[in-house]
Order: sequence, then C-alpha cells, then structure tokens
Amino acid sequence: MGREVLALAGKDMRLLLRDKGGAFVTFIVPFAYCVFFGVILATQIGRTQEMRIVVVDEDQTPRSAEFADRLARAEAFAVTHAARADAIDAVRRGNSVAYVVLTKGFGERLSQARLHDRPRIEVGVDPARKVEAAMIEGMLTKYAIESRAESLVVGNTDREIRERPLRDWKPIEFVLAKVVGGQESPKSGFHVSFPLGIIWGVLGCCSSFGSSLVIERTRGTLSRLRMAPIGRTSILAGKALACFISTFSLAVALFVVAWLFFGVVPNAIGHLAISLVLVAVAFVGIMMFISILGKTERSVSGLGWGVLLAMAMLGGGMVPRMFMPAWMQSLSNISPVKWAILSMEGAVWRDFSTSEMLLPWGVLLGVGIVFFAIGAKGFSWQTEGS
Amino acid sequence: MLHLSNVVKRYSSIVAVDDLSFEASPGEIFGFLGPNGAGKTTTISMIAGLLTPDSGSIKLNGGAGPDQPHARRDVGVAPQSLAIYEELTGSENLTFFGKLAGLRGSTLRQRVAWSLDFVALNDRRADRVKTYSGGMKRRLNLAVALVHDPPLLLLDEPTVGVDPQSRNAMFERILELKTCGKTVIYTTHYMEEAQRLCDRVGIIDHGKFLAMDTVDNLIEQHGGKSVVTATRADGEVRIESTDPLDECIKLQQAGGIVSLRVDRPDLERVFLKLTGRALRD
Ligand SMILES: Nc1ncnc2c1ncn2[C@@H]1O[C@H](COP(=O)(O)OP(=O)(O)OP(=O)(O)O)[C@@H](O)[C@H]1O
Ligand SMILES: [Mg+2]
Repeated sequence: MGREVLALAGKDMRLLLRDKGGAFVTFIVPFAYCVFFGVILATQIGRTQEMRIVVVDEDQTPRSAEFADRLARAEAFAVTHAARADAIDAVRRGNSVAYVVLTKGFGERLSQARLHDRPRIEVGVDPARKVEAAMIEGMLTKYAIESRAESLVVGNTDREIRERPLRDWKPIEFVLAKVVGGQESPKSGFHVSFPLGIIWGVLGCCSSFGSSLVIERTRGTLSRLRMAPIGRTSILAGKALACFISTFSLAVALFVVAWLFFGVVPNAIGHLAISLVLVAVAFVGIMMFISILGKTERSVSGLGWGVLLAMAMLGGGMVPRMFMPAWMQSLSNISPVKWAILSMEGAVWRDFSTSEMLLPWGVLLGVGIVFFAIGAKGFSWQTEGS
Repeated sequence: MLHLSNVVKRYSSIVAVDDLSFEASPGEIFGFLGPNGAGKTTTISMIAGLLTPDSGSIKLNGGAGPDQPHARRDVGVAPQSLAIYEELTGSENLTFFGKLAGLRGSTLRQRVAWSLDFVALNDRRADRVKTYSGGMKRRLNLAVALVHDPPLLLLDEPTVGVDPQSRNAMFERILELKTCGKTVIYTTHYMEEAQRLCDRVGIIDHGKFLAMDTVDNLIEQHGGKSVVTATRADGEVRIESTDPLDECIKLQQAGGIVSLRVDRPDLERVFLKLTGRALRD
C-alpha cells in the first residue's frame, strides 16, 4: 500500500504548491493574524500582569495589618484578603498568582530587634512559576527590611549579630508552599496569538483538502483513481497524508517564525511536537468529515467553513477563552479547536506536565479517528456520468 | 482476456445494460457501436470496475473480477469524460498514473516517454494540461490508459475532437498494439474508424446487442445491395444491385451518362438499418 499512498500524497502536494497564490495565502493570512492579534493582546496581557496575590492575615495585629497595607499600596501587586482555604483555592484555580500568609506572631517579631527570631511568612505559589515566586520573595524582603529597619537600628543588643556572618541573613523567614494546578499566564500577546493563528492556518488546510476530494469527484479524476489498481483505502490514505503533511508543516513553520522573531519559546519542545502532530491528526479527520457535507465543491466549501467557524468560535479560536464567561468556557469543551489550542498552549506557556497533556492529546486523537471514520464511511465514490 | 456473461445494469427505471454477453481475445480489436444512450459507457465502466453489475459476471485476465485492485493492473481505460489533472503537466499526469500502476525508475520514465510519443504530445509534455487544446487533452486521456502497458484497453470514444493527422497516426499505432497481442475494446460513433480498425463489431441499442460479427460479415448480412447512381442530361437513375460493375457497363452502353457513382454497402448503412433512422433523445 505504501508506495501508491506516497504517490497520491505527492500529487496533492504538487497541486497545492502549484497554486502559488493559494499557498501564499494559506501561510500569510494566519501569520498576519498572529502578528495583528498578538500586538492587540500584548496591551491586554500587560494590564493583567500586575500580580494578583491574596493576603491571609492570621496575626491580626496592627503591625501585620500595616504590613498588609504596604503590600496593597505596592504597584506590582493587586492585593485581596481572604481566609487561608479560599486563598489556596484562588491560587489553585489560577485566579491569583500567590497567597501570602502572615503567620501568628508576625507583628510582634517584626517589631522586636532579635535578628534570628524572624517574622514568618508563608507563600503559596505554583512551583512552575519560579519567576513570580522569586519576585514575590524579593518584594516581601524589601518591605520587611523597611518595616524592621527602625527596630534593628535602635540599640541592638543581640550578640548573635557579632558572632554570625550576616551574609545569608534575611529579615523574614519564608515558608514556600507548593500549589499545584496554578496556571501560568502567557508571557506575551504572541504566546496567545500564534497558537490561534496556527488554528486558522489548520482550518484553511482542512477546508481546502475537504473540497479537493469533491473536486476530484466532479472533475472525474476520482474515477480515474478508482480504475487504478489500488484500493479505496489507499485513495483516502493518500489524501489524508497530504492533508497531514500540509497542516503539520504549516504549524511548524508558523511556530519557527514565532520562536525566531517573536520570542515565543516553547516550554517543552517535545510536548509541542506531539501536540502539533495530534492537531494535524484531528483536523485530517475533520477534513474527511467535511468532504461528505455536500455534493459540489461549493456546498462542501460553504458548509465546511460553517462547521469550522462554529468550532473556532466556540473553541476560542476567534476570541481567546480567557476572555469568555465561565459558562462559555465550559461549553467550549465540545469544540476540537479548544483542545487543539490547549495542547499547544500546554507546551508553550502553560507548562503542563506530561500527564496534564494526556487529556488534550487524547481528545485530539479521538476526534481524528472518529471524524475520519464517519467521513470515510459516508464518502460517496460514485461519479456522475461514468 | 475479457469475458462478460449476462451482465445487467439498471439506473432506477432505465435498464442501461440488458443481459449482455461477449468475449474478446488477445490480439483482437472489438468495436462497440451504438446510438447515444445505448449502454456503451455503462458497459465500459463495469469492465473498469467503476460500476458493479446488478447481475451477471465480468472476468478479466485470469478470471478475476474488476473489483479486485490487482486485476485492474491489466486494464487501461480512456474514459469518455476526460479524467486528467488540469494543473499538472502532461508528463506529470502520466508519471503519477504510472506510479499508481506500480511502475518506477527507468521503466516508468520509458513508459511515460513512449505514451507521450504514442499520442504525439512530446513537445507539449512540460506544459500544464489546462493550456492544451481539446484534442490534445483527449490524446493525453488516451495516453494515461496506455502508460502501464496493460493487456486490455478500454477506449471510449478516444478520437472525439482529434484532428485527422493525429487520428491517422493513432490508428496505425493502435493496430501495432493489436499485433503485440493487446485486446482493445473500442467505442466510437465514426463508422469508418470501426471499419478500419475493428476485427469484430458489436452493435448495441437499449443495452442489448443487435448484431455481433466481423465487419465484412455484418455488411454481407445487413448491408443490402450496392447502389449505382447515374446522372444523365435528363436526370438521375438509382439502381440497386449485387453486381454494380455489371450495371455500370450496361448504363455506359446505353449512352448519355454524365457521371456514375457506386455506393457499396458499408458499416454506416448496417448501423442505420439495425438501429433505425429515428433521432435519439
Ligand atoms: N449516472 C446515471 N444515472 C442515471 N442514468 C444513467 C446514468 N448514466 C447513464 N445513464 C443512462 O444509462 C443509459 C446508457 O448510458 P450510457 O452512458 O452507457 O450510453 P452510451 O452508449 O455510452 O451513450 P453515448 O454514445 O451518448 O456515450 C442511458 O439511458 C443513460 O441515460
Ligand atoms: Mg458513452
């Protein structure tokens, strides 16, 4: 079976590339979208980038309240107050970057002069957000030094200060708690716009290959293929392979551009590779499904785009899911586009573990198989007039 | 080489092919003649594996049916409706279909060159098919049938729109193929083509054979007599005769003849006699 499938796919690739204008548009339109939308998103994401932290004041003293106030006034932080359980939850759900617990005795220790009996702060943060964790620690240290400065300067009688080196001394003691499930926020607008742009490129490939199957039927070349000494499976496999190669190479090309020129560095390149393969697999299946939506090139192309646009709209391909209301976000689970985007984001900036990637990957694979099966089963082989 | 027995194909109420049986052997060109809608293309599509007969059986070389991909390796089809990729060049089309039939390497290159030569398209090989004229496309459509050197050729009106020069060259080469032992099923509406090429002819109408024999036998059985037309100063005389030469001599002796024409019975006359003169829808 192998050789003829390669020959079929080679023919389709040749036809695709022969249409220079079409090939250009297939690449350029999604690329333009990536840049355009990336620039717009940059302003949005910059705005949300002040770090949301939840302060849990378990000390409830004037000194701890004053410290919390200091944090709230800081420009880098957007501070809310909550009880510990709610705070942990907020971080877990990704609504806040971190929670900060001012532990019992915080106020008292802050005001006394003993160097090594330090006030204790518990910081809960996603272990993946190393940068933010370090930043928060730095800021808290700064504020703690400011708060403690007077008490430390005013007549320090502590002997330890003379006996131990001060090099590693910190004004407060940090306890870092790991909150798993906290979501990364995108590092730039391009981190969001490129996966979306890739989706548009993929949809374009998907639609044009879906139509190409119908064009083969209406132009009579499908009967020529059927008269050749090859099985029907090979004919569909050839089309699928060509669609896969185009979709995959388009996605890779856009990511290379994103990486080289827009600073979109994937967190896990291996994950990204698997995601792109599976995105292509899913949309090859959808391509096959689209090809049975109509009898003519026009109806397939029209209905096909209808289906694809609905998928894109629901799945966050038009407006990113982060801007959707909660109910719509959960509705988007039915769209393959959501899972395609998630699988790319998981590898680019969400920093998913392999086990977290399994869900989007599994969905994409399933979509590919199921849609392909439906399309292959419903495909009409009969050509008019022969 | 090819064996059809009691093949039937219906399109809802229309019986396109009605209990058709025939055989063709290696080295034979079998002509398939019939008015529009007689069922020729339907029969060819069934032999090519595009359609499945409602009943009856079709056996190719070695007894396998055309539904089996490996059996189709032995069949080359030039369909009535053109089936080639317009965006590819002539040689790309041939190379592609050659690959599908399992050719590769130097064999593939040789076969592509040979087929282009067969239809005299060598100088246009690197042009896209959409820039070809109608007759050139028709010729390429035929070349695709030949590229994998199949023992059985199904040619459905391969010469429509082809100019006399290319057509004559094609005839000679088709006759060469025949001497190489190929079986050719040849559909046409040009009677002189059938008369020149075919060993046997089947005349089909409403999906049934009306007659099937060698051209000479058909003419002898259904052609009737020769017609001698003599033009004289006072008008025209038509005489039917089995011995036209004798009639001519008699007319000449009677004198006053301006011109003489002898119409020998031919395939066209047989065809019209069998299928009637009424126009088809
Ligand atoms: N796809 C189809 N659907 C319905 N009827 C069809 C179809 N194809 C052919 N027919 C009918 O089957 C009959 C035989 O058609 P076919 O094409 O075999 O004729 P043909 O002998 O090749 O005619 P022509 O000389 O015009 O090519 C015709 O009555 C035609 O209308
Ligand atoms: Mg026909």
